[in-house]
Amino acid sequence: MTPKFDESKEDVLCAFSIESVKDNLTLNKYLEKYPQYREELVDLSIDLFLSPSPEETLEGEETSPNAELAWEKFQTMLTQSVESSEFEELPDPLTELNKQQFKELAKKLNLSRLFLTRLRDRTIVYSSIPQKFIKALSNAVGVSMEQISASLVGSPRISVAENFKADGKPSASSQISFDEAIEASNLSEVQKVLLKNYEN
Amino acid sequence: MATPLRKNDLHGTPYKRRSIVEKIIDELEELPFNELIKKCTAFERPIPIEVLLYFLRNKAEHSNSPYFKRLFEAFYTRLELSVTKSISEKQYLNAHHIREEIIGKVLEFLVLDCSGENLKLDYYEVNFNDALQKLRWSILRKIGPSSDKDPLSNSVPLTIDNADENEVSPEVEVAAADFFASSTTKLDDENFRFQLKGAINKLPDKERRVIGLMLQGMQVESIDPEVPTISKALNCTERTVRNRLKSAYGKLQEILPVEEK
Repeated sequence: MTPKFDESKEDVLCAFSIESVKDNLTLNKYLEKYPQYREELVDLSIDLFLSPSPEETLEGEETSPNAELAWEKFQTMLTQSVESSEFEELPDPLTELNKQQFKELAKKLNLSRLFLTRLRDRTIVYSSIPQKFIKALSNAVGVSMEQISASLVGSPRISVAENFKADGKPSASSQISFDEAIEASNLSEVQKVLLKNYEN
Repeated sequence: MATPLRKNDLHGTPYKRRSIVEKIIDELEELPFNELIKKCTAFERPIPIEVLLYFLRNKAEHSNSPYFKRLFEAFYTRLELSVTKSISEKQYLNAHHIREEIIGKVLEFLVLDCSGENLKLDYYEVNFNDALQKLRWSILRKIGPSSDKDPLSNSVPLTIDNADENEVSPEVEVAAADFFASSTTKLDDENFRFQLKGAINKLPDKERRVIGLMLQGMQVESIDPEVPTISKALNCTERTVRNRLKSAYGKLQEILPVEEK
């Protein structure tokens, strides 16, 4: 049986992106039907307007030198997907937060927003973060410790991805320890003590 | 006959591939698998990437075959080429990383698709490049500075906005309209578009949205309730739109060259 149209944000945005005509009337139709995704629809329309799909020019192309490696990776992923659903597009609990939710979370945990930003952007070494703190964070966000851990672990997220080389400076964020982050995140003395207590 | 897509559009009707894509799929399906792959992977006579995707999705039973590998590699090469064009090193500091994220996500979709857990690639079969542009946008929002999820950005929720209720002089509005109209005519020039996009992205979100909609030809106001307007699109008053327009115009004038009359 064919499923009905999925009205999730992701599907609404995908549906808009593949409309054959993405003019004001089409945008208006989506905005009227899905006002809850207003910001995203407007932003997407602007981006698609200013970044039209590049035309394919393939004459004389040869197989990419990266294709062999990609194939091996793809085969590995296929094998793993049989065993688990880890590749499902799970929302990242920290990057999914909007501005207001982010502020509320910082308040709930009595953190500065800069400290929480460091956590979200993975600029704090995961192994240095106390388990007690990860537990408190997962409780505050309302997700499992595994999900929060998956969000915190890994390479730093890009903090400045889109910029002009001429007036932007590369900011390949390096990671710092939990302790260093406590000292360098605009925290009050009380907040610092509270965070250090997680280490005991 | 090509296997129909399963995702439905807004009206509850199953999506359809472009007719040229359906036609090529139907022709190729008549061929033995190895011949089919040869046709799909011939770079000198490229066929739409949607066809390659279709066979990757629908011929997974051959996934251990060297021909299937050729199909995958041809698809990957086209994907990589498209992403490389879309994310240029000229424009993005971390172009390589962003490209990897995008390509990695498409491969994830493919894996999920093979295990029957996800139909997202239906969108890509309808229009691969447009769906890819949407993915690029999503990834840049997630990891780029324009993310409205970034609490350090100047994003504000789109609610009724009564701020900045000062009157805007008609001259400013006319000048701004002229400025944006002339910008629209130059959008075919890739360098100008790149410059304009960079300038717009530097604006606060609420101003960027007004400018972005105006560039797309949306009017500030209209007496016809059926006509889409910026104030309706952004759920704010016409005066607020004009004030944002004025503010954005002032900033863009400093960044972008304005043609002498």
